[in-house]
Amino acid sequence: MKRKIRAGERVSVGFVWLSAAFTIATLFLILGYILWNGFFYSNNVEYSVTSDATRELDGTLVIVNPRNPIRELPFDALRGLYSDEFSSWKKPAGFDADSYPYVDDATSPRLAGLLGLEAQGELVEFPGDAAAAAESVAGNDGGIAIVDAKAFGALDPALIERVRVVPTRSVALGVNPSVVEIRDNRRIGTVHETAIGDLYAGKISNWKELDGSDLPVTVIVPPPGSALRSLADRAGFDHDRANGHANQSGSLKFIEPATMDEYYLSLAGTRGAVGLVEASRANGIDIAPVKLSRRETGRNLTLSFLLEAPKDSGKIGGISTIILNTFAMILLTLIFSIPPGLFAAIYLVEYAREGRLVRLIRLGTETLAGIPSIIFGLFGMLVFVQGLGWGISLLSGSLTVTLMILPTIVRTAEEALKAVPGSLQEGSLALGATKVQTVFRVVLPAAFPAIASGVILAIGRALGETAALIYTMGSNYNLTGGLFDSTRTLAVHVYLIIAEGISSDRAFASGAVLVFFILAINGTARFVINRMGRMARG
Amino acid sequence: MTKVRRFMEAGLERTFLACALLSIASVALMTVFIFRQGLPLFAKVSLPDFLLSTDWFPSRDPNPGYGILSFIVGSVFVTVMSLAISVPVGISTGIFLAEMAGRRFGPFLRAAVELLAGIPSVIYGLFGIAVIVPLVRMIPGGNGYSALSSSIVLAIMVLPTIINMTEVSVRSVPNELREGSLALGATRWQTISGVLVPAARSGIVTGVVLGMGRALGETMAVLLVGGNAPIMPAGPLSMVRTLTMNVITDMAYAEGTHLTALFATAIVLFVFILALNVFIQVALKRAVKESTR
Repeated sequence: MKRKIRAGERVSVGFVWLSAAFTIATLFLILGYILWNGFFYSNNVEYSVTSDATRELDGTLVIVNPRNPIRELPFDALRGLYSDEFSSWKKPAGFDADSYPYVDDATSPRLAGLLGLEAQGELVEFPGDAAAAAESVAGNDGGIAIVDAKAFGALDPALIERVRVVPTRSVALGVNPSVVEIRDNRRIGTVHETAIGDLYAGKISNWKELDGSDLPVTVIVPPPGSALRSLADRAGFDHDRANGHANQSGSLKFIEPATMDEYYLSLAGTRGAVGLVEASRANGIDIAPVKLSRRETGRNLTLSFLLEAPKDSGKIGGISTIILNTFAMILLTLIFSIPPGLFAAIYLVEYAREGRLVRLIRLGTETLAGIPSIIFGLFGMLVFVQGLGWGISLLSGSLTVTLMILPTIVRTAEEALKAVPGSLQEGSLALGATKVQTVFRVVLPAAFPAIASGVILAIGRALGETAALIYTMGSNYNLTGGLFDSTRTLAVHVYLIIAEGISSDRAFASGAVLVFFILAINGTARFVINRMGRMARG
Repeated sequence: MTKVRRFMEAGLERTFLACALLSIASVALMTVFIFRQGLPLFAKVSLPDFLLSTDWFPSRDPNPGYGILSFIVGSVFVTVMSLAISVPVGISTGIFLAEMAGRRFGPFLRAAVELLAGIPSVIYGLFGIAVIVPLVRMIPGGNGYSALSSSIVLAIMVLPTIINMTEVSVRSVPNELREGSLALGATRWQTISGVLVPAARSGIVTGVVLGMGRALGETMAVLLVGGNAPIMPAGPLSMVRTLTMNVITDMAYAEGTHLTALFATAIVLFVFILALNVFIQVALKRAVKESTR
């Protein structure tokens, strides 16, 4: 009997412990997840080229203006810039400038072949020799030029300083068109980049293994001494081992042509063939490119994200103006809510006698505190936006949030005022001060820290508000121009970025900033309360 | 005291009173405005057609549908499911904080709960989309945007409310009860479950009802993870639209009867919340009576 009780008790106590642990774990999971993803991104990306970047592209160099943040140019992006597919740098580099593609005289005859284009775009300009092309790029934020490598190397070093060479990623995984045909409802899709190494190491003998159709693999090995061969070697090609694998499996074959021309011919002519190729050769007709995927990681929330203004509905740029807008909203809300909240508390504590009126006021405060924010939003829309004609604006939104946080301020201020010892007031009154003087000179200063911590917590609520603001304060992400301007705050920004499906990285970065503010506010409130405790004791 | 000064004192007292009345005035104005915008709907749509029909199709040209039963059911369904998760966990954590937490772990946990209460709903929504929706898609199935995902997010959001109310009310149980029970030979757990929790019942129930109000009124977090399909939820994995989602989704472009119907939806939500508030006031009064008995 006793043992039975003990066991039941143990289970119950265990559940209580578990619940407490669960609560803490949930908090850390949420905060950790948001902050981690805010600071670092990790995405699966697809390219038609490998991650190998080279400085030279078949005897030419790609140069851009130093202001352009791009670090590597995938072949597709380069081709897009020269074929009018991209007229600005927004997509390839997240850089807000129109693109101006130039090409020097030495390279212009072979531009189409170099990029695998049928016709170059109309935007491409021909300023003259390499010096003229470099000069054009140096003088234009969105400039890019393809110049002859030797001619560029011979330029005046001062001019070279004014442009930047961008490495290109121009090696693709090319296959014989038979590989990408649909057979038995199967067609090879995107493969992970590690498949290149596996193919050259002889680990894959049939395209089935890469979710393609049932077709034996033939690996074409680039001729010795070529740039592609060194990449293949680096990927894991080993002559003896490869032949060993080929002999073992029977269906897998390795072919080693002697020249580049033969290399491309055997790729185009052998069923199931695969090999690394210059991206310009993978035109989809005799050699088809295979899309490669890989995981890219890096810093997400950067200083420039905090300091730059958002552009293009937040697709590029940062959140600086949105942070300032948020501060403006908080400031206005505090100006509107502290005096009435404080006065209400003063009335309740210092003037009112318990009775019907006080009960009614308390009921009002409690009810207001329980009303969902969306109802506040509707009310603000009806009264401030439409009724008073202030439109969707900073003023309407701030007043709406003011009503929301009023109960918090009244309640905490009330508690704070109640906690001031009565002897202080009696002393003041005995010295001949009036009631108002006593309240403002004696009671309020004594209650200040507790009131401050309540106000800080109210700021937290205003900071995170979304539903009440969408139809009262609007979504203009530029720096607010005044009380009657539509203004976007950080929380609304996070919501809109998710809702408009702009980018989860940007949502997390903005969310991390919001969480950081909330943490800072909580920390400040805690600090104020702690100091208060020390002051009361000391 | 001069006359001027006395006049000023009286004036300030009036100002204080006016500020104190601001809250109740806001509530009254809010009620008036929302009802004035929503009630005209019933000149065109009968009350049963509005409350008891699942046909929501305001854009259908001849004879549009304005039934919000699916959303009422959606709201209640999501709220009840979220409470099913948060009530046991919340009450347990509250009891833990009040009776079992040590001097070191207690303040730490309390700070965590406070922080959890301070996290904005849009952050919960972001977390829900990134973690809970894929998890629900992976484990029970479906497309992840579901009543279950909404309930899980809401459960986390209402946890602090329930924990705080439970802790406060268990703590405020008079010490004599605690000591009496222990003196009679009850174990610590028997004291908690047999004496303290029953004594703190009203306060705990208030916390649960407050949490219910928060779950019912939450908009952004559920909007992001609930799927927002205007259908009757068929189960936990079905997409769901709650009353709040219905109000906010179409508000940007609705006009005429459609807009009125949105305000009428808000009236239903408002009435729900006010009813919960009345319940809380009554429960609190009872709690006060119990503790003074």
